[in-house]
Amino acid sequence: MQFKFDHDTDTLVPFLLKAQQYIQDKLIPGNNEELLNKCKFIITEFCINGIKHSGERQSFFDIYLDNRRLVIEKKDHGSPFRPKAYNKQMTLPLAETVDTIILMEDDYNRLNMQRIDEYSVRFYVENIHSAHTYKQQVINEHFGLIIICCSSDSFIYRHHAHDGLNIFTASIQLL
Amino acid sequence: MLLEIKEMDKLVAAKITEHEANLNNAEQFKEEIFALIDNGHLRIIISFEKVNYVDSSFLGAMVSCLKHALSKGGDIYLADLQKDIYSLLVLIRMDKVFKIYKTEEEGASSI
Repeated sequence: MQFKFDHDTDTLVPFLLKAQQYIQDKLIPGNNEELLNKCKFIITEFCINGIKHSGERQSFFDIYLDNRRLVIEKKDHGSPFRPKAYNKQMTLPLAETVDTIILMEDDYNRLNMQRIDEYSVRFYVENIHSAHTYKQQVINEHFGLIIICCSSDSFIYRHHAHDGLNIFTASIQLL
Repeated sequence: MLLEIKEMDKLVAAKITEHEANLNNAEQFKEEIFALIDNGHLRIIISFEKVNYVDSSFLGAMVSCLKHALSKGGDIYLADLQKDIYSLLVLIRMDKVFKIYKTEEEGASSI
């Protein structure tokens, strides 16, 4: 089913509740609290991403089951994702020489971006074990992509160069 | 004001008065906590009792406040987190960044 989200923080919580209700009623009956929380975190951050970065007034969500995976997909025609690594801004299409790059790293998490092809990438997070003391800790202040990675089993971004469509896809493997 | 302030023995308790802690009020939260720290209130326990929703923008503001407090020799503590907000912090390992107490009272008596 497709849901339209108007890029406005005031509509975020009602939108979230509607999407959660749909997941609970139609896709994953019962009260799987952990799974519903992960869906909530992913949808919230997709919405925030749309509001902050797309430059568009709305985005569209597809939420569905694919075999034993719950898929949450956000689509918009806004600005393409522009990865930044080591303060160097990259643009699509990604050169073939790009493989895996670190987008962000602190004392707790490392956010990686792996090239799939020139217009698509996969994000994943690795845990870091800091040697710093509590008072010296280095902490990142940007959590959107990290939250989506940590809440899903797969997180992919694709851009369609011919029509400008951006597709963010997070999926959760069901037991 | 986003925060309801209560001065205690060794620290200040700051209760968030809105149900949603998000992009809309993250900057205000940061300004109010920074002002407390800059006025010498270096140990602050933040109560999330009323909050049922937190997004990445607000988490970023929380970390920024913690860094500011630590740089001045202070600290920020969290309390009264709803279960799903606590789950979010654990998921992204922020439970290792902040000292978290079940309740504001528990924090106040332990700190």
